[in-house]
Amino acid sequence: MSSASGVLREPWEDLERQRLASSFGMWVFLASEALFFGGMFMGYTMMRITYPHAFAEAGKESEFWFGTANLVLLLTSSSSMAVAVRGAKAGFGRLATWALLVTALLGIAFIIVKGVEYHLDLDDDLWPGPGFKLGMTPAQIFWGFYWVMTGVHAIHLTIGIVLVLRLFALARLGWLAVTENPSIEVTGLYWHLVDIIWICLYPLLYLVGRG
Amino acid sequence: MMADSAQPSRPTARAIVLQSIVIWGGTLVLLAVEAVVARLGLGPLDVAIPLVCAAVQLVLIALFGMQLVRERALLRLAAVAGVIWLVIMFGLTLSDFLTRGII
Repeated sequence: MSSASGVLREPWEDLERQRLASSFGMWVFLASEALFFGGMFMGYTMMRITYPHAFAEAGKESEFWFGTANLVLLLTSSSSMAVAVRGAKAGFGRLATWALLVTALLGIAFIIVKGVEYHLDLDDDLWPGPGFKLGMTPAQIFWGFYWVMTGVHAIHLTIGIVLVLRLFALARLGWLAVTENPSIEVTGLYWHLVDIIWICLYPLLYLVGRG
Repeated sequence: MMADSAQPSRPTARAIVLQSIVIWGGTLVLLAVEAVVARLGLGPLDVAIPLVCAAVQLVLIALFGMQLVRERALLRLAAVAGVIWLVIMFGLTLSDFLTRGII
């Protein structure tokens, strides 16, 4: 059932095959995630081409510094996750474990900043519908995309935080062998994808109409 | 069985942290460039340069964060497959949408 290192699972005969299979499975999932978000990016692109001025006007209302701060947080978390994954693979279990905690804390910081930003957006009447700040214009479409895309992203990030905290807790309790464990690598791939989605969202939601 | 697995020597902890810091620094510089350029009022470049910066950040994360730079061909292929389907979706949709009224 398990190897000496405690990470080999059935039905794999060796750790390298298990690692390849789990990473391959995650990459296939990530490709489907890319298409899921890609549909929203596609819709955004078409609407922005159709209503360029309304999108520029709407984009000026987004909280530039909050979006920028959140990108800094996620880029930093990607770095710490890379340390965790490569550290675990190279046999530095302690380094990898603490890098996981740093990653999760940066993710939590992102959610807090996002929560404050949502509060400001709502105070500013930027929820599409009656009473919308910019009137009944196509600017509402921009904000429709903003709420859906950032909301779905936040859900993904929350799942990532739970997964990373789980790994950290299990490692600290001694119930998970960190070194060479494919779970760290697979979770890392998911985390990086969530980061990449924010990298793509940032110029589309926070840099529109700033010039 | 797995022909493409010439295992590189294991990196030191210092090398791992250092590489992450370098990539992190690179992505932050790109963030600074896109945030500044978007405010300069350069016309279409306001859109193009930030998108290029974002694309380079994405590639850096994919290559060095997701380790595609030293990954097996099967995993690289799986990653590229996702990109190909995105290109097909954007290509087919925009080829219709952007040529309406022309053809």
